[in-house]
Amino acid sequence: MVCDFFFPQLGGVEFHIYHLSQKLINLGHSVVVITHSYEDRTGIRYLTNGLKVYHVPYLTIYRGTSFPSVFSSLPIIRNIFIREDIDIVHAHVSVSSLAHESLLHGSTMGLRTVFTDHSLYGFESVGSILVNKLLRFTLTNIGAVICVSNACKENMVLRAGIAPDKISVIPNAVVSRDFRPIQNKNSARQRRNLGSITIVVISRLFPNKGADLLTHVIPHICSVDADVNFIIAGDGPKFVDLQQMIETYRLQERVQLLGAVQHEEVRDVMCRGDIYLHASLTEAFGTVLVEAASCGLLIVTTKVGGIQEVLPEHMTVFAEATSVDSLVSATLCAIDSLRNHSVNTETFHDEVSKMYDWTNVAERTVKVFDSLMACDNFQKDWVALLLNYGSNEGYWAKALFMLCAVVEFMLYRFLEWFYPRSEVDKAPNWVTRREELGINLKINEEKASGV
Amino acid sequence: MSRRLGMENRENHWERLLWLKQDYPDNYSDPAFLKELSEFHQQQLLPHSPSSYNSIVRDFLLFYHRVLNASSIYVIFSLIYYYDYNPLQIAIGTSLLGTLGLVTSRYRFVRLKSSLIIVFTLLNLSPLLKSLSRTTSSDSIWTLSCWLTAFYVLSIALETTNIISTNLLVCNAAVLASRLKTTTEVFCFLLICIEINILLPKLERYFFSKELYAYYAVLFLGDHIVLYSFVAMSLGVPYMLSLALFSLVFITVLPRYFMRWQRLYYRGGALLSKWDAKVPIFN
Repeated sequence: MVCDFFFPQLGGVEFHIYHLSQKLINLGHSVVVITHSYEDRTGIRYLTNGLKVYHVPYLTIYRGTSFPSVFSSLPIIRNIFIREDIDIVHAHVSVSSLAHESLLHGSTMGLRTVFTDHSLYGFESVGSILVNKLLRFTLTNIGAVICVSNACKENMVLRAGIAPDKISVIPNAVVSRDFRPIQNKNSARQRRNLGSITIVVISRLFPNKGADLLTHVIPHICSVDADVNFIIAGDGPKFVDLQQMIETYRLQERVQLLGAVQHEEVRDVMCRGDIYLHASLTEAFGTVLVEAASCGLLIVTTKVGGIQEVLPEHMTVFAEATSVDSLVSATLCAIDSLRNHSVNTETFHDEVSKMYDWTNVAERTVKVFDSLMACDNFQKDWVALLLNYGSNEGYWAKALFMLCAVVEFMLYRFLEWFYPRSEVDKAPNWVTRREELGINLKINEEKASGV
Repeated sequence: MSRRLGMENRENHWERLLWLKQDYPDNYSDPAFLKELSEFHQQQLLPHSPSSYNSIVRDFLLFYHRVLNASSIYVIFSLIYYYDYNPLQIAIGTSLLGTLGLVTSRYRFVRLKSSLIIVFTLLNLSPLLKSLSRTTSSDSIWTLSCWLTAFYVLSIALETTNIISTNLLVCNAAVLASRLKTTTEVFCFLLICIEINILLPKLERYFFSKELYAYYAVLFLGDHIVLYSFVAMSLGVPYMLSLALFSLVFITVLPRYFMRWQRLYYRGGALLSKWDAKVPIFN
């Protein structure tokens, strides 16, 4: 697993990598995570279950992304790959330069490569054009790609020019026991005030998350229905706008701004509400929706990106457009159906826990790995790899890609001579407790296919 | 509710849902998307209509003309500073031409009163501007002026508000004015700059919007004659020719490249903008 974003930083991608790795270890594979160093967290660390994390000391430039250097990471990445006896390189996130570099190094070393993308990108801004070009380069020789939703997959097909059947859709999951609803929710509501509805919003307050829509929707709903309160958690550049909205409409009693909350507290905040309002303008998957539904909240959301694929219709009320009007009417509709008990939110938790589960995600990922390992005509021939780079679009891009590939091959040959494989220490595998006790010997035998 | 648990679903057709466990491999693609994709690729192969090329050329031409106007500030400056031309004659000449232009267009966007106010303000400010950055070395002034011009061109290209580009222009003129010798020179220089870079573009835009292309062409040609003859005089004919070649490439070849970019990255139909963040509607 290679990604710039990992623990101690917290976020959707970080949790995805962590949970997937844990489940893969449980399935009997050996997993190593490579990320860059976070402050004094440099070198090798172990997390739960013997998950080994390499924190490589790289310069970070922007929002935790390491400095893109193409070749300079080859020696250390090669060393780690050999040391850990890696078969498959699995990189995450298209804005992570470490991920791209390791894919390039991995395919140069003749390893199988997998890439997972977690978000949607546009095509018109300079930044996204650069990221897309980079993707085309590093994914030229990719074995398989995993996307978190169908919308994300289709986005990927166009951005990186990959054949659709090379991309598998494997959704995110949630740890459902971390998102349990509170017991006796209805009696709690009765104690509070029958008919009173609390709407929860948990989101980073950025324009693309629809924070501007929120500042218009909230006063509208408050004026229509006197028995509705809001709890807003999250921080961002639009925080001030929300504060101003509260002061302008004198909603201090009814709208509560919590600011940033820790991930452990998210469930507690969610459980204080009845409806989760999601006004995002772009979303690849929307894990937060699944978390909220798992806490027994009715979801009101816009229909952007992959959101429509995530939850069944009876758990969600969709706003037809990303407009204030349709969000308001969707929210009012949700409030009505809660008040006249036409929805039963108590069953949501069990249903969601059956739909999304990390073990299932890991099993489906293993299927992708297995299909790669089973593939006989796997290209290790450098000339073929080079020609693949040459088959890209664009005269300049093609020439640059091929030049980079040739330099990479030469560097690799040099390293093989300068620091031969035989001189690299092999790391012993972490022995899990189950193996130690000899309970699951079968897994031990299958362990030959490490990850 | 029949498919609430998803497990019972044994229907044969694939559904675009993640929560539903379906008997299809994970790498199964939405057939609707595959159809859309093949249509998109076919559309990308189609050539574009020449009308769109012409409109892009026109936009490039307008921008190029604005840049020419912007560089005329240096022509005027060097004529006064290096070649010791009489600034008064140039100022009277441009003012007369300007008045003529206004009369022909019968376009009263400049009232007499406000123009007089501007002229008298300039008269008052001229001695001040002359001594304002006198102590700064000439090298620093050239650098500063170069950057201001770059920002000015950028502000035109990005079509920012008029006030930003006007401010940048006046700043640039004020910085350059400190190198001139007399107050009269400073006054004339500022006046000419304002006439060429603020009044002239307005007049041009007026002609263009009223489809008086002949008048526009006259102004366009006039600009070119002044600038190209200046380049030929100061730097030599080879420089003038290479400038002309460069401009020609800019106007004719670059739009093709621009269209290629448009086709590959933006205007590929509805498909490419599908994943852009949606625009919030505040109604």
